[in-house]
Amino acid sequence: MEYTLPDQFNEIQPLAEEWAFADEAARNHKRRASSMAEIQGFYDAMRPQMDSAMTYLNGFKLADTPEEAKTVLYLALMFMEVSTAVEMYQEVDVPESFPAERYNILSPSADHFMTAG
Amino acid sequence: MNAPQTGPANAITARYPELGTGPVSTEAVISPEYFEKEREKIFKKSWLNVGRIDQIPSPGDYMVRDLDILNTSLIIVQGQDSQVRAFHNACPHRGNKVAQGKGNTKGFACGFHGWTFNTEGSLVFVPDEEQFFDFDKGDFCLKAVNCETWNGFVFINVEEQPSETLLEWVGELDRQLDGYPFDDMVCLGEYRAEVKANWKVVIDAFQEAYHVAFVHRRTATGAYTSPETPYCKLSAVELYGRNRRGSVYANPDFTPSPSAAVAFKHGPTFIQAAQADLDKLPVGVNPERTPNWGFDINVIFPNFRFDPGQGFYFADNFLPISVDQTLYEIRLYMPRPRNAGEMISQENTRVLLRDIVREDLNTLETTQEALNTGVMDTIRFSDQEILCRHQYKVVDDIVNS
Ligand code: FES
Ligand SMILES: [Fe+2]
Repeated sequence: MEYTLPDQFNEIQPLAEEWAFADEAARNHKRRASSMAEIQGFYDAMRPQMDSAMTYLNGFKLADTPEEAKTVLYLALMFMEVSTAVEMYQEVDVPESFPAERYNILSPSADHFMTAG
Repeated sequence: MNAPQTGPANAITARYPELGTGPVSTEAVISPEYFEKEREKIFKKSWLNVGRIDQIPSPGDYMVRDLDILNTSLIIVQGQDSQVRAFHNACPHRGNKVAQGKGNTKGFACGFHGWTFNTEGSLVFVPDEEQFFDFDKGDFCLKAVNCETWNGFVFINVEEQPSETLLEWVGELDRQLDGYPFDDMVCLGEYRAEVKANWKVVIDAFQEAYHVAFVHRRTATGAYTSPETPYCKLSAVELYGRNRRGSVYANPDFTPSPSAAVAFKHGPTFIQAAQADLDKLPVGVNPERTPNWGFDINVIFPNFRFDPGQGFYFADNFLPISVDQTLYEIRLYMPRPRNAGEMISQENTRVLLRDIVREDLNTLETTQEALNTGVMDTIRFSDQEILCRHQYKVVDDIVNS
């Protein structure tokens, strides 16, 4: 896995190795394995980058997304993953909810939509 | 003199006097005998949703569905002729299962002695065939189960001669939903959980909006309530025979979270796009054409729900395992993302829906535990919980028939 981001995303380069995942299940697992302080730190670092990340990514056809851009995409998806923790709970996982380990996430990976067709 | 009757103004339930307004016996959700009657009289005689065509999109694609309530395992397969069929997953030689999981195949080879069936269910190869007596391969197909699709949703019915076609079973909802762009959306999220609660306890949590202000106070209350409507409401409720529908109130003026605001710049989110193009919706989707609209709830009896909104829908199955165990499955559909911005935008909806559904499921196991004690012998439904009341009435009428 290549974690080097394009220069314009230097500020979030340090996040790439730990927070970039193609799968929803992997992102949710990472979220639940992190502390609230780690999640807040990730969210705060990503939030000012979201608009430029989406503009940058939209410069590619999905099927032609280069590897370094995929890492930006995975980080942006992770921002959405942790958004409810930061914005709604100030807790890592949904309070008063069905146990995460019994709620199986079977969603298609982001990579599924980056293949042609 | 009688005490004055009190009750809701503009009651929905008043339009359906056959439902009554009284309490409902808990027998329907705790009695093993009742559950066995449901198995025999309802599930073995109903069209049951087993998924959607996009799960087996190409010829040769198949999926195995183990349906505890029917005590059977089914193979749902798209034949080389593109027709979707269902078979009992049992080899006519000595009964072994011939398929597992899902995949794409030219046929099914039984792992016991190698009998091989094509995707249309015909037996095409028997090793050492001449050892059998008076044998004709044509006599030993996989046992077929009635299988039909409606708007891409795949249903099965294990009754030999179903009393209704699937289209008759869907009934008025077919006309109401005509034109909804089911086929223009792809499955973006899929989730599964085994819940220790009766299947009706589970589906009830998804066919009323009364709980929104409480269960979803952290996630969704802002979007689905307002100062004028502090308790989320169902409107445009219609009962169509065994089936039912209602629209869920939403407040388009709510303040979105920062991430939802980012998401909305690149695509429709759960609430914020609901007001656009209302007049293009099918007649039975947001029939009031109200901007205060989140999505609709539609239930096709007995255990399939699909909830269309603007730019998304979700569909869920409530598959009974035992009297107090249910396999719950939900799939979220949105337009196939055309670019990464849309994908990221959709992720906001996907994560929120996932968290919301985990809230929905949270109360069900403790509810079932309490009901199982027998301390209460009835539960009660408000006018706003009419879809739940309707479910019990329809089930009870069949179980006691
Ligand atoms: S049981 Fe299937 S080939 Fe014998
Ligand atoms: Fe809910």
